[in-house]
Amino acid sequence: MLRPQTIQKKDERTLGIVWDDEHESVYDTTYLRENCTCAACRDEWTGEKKALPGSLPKAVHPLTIDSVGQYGLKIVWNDGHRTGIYTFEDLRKLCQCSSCRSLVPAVP
Amino acid sequence: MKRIAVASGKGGVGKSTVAVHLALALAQKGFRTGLLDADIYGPSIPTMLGIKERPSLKENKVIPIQVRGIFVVSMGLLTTDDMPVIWRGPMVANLLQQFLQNVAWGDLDYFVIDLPPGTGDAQLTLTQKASLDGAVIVTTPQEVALLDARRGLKMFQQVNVPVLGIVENMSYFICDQCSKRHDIFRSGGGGRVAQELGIPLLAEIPLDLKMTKACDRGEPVVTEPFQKLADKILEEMPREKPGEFHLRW
Ligand SMILES: Nc1ncnc2c1ncn2[C@@H]1O[C@H](COP(=O)(O)OP(=O)(O)OP(=O)(O)O)[C@@H](O)[C@H]1O
Ligand SMILES: [Mg+2]
Ligand SMILES: [Zn+2]
Ligand SMILES: [Zn+2]
Repeated sequence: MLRPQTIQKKDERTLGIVWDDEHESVYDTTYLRENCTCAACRDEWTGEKKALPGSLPKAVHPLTIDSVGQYGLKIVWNDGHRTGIYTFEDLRKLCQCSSCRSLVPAVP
Repeated sequence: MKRIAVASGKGGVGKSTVAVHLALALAQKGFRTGLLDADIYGPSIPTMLGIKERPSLKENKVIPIQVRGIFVVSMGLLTTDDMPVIWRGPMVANLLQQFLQNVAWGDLDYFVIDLPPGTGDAQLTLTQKASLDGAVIVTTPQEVALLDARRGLKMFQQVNVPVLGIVENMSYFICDQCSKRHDIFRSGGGGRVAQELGIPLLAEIPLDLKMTKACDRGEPVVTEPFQKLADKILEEMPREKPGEFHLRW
């Protein structure tokens, strides 16, 4: 499994991850928040999003990002949400760099 | 994960010995280390590590054998006795590629590959397909071996794999009578070739009969020269321990 080499705050709204394979991912923080897969944000049965885009505060951004075990990152958000864990696998799929964005649709 | 190939221009110079001890040394330093024996023609790593069982399959993936703190797969152990060993280079290379993809290695920090000896097309294709981060070339002090080492270096340069340096094996002999160092071969050959080619001499491994015996029993012991070699590799190719991340926005 790919793991980040470094994680970095690129600007107020952008998280940067450089992966083991040197791929440089960028994430708009609102996009990340929208794609949270935790139970509070997704219907457990259908996987459908509960927090719909637009229902979030405009300038949603992380307060802290910490690793969880060897497999992912836990993000505590400024909107009070703190139960979301992003696995490295999911994060890689969510990459918003120009080459990935054209290939992978956002999680429905 | 960093992928390191252990290569040699010619057979019998101690490539497998170096690969095994390097992998063990890296594991002892706390890194999750995999060892792939890609020498399907003469796999000796199973014997050196006392591995008798064939690796098992789970969900179509090969499960490496965990031994002495490292994760090992020998391509030789996966081939059957009635399979002819007349495979051409590209076939072996394809097999290797499948190996790299279909083995459940887990999250490795270092991945050591024992390449088949030589610098022919087969090895060239292998090095291309393995997407290596670096290579070490094993040689002995004799002139012929050094010539082959040069060829090895050229091969890696051709496919843009950085050569970390040369390991001179059977470099000298520690006498068990007087405990002094005896340069039984013309000494310094590895150093000279390293200097000439502008790459580091990573280690000088003595001729050590205790080591041979330990390997024959399948109980290799990591001695000081191999620890130093691992330190050099870690220096050249740092891999932090599985990372902990913390970021305050
Ligand atoms: N430094 C050493 N001191 C004593 N014996 C050694 C040393 N290095 C290797 N040997 C012995 O020499 C023999 C060949 O070593 P090894 O199998 O590691 O070579 P190789 O380069 O992998 O050979 P091959 O080309 O067959 O794969 C083995 O019996 C091994 O135990
Ligand atoms: Mg060998
Ligand atoms: Zn959530
Ligand atoms: Zn990307």
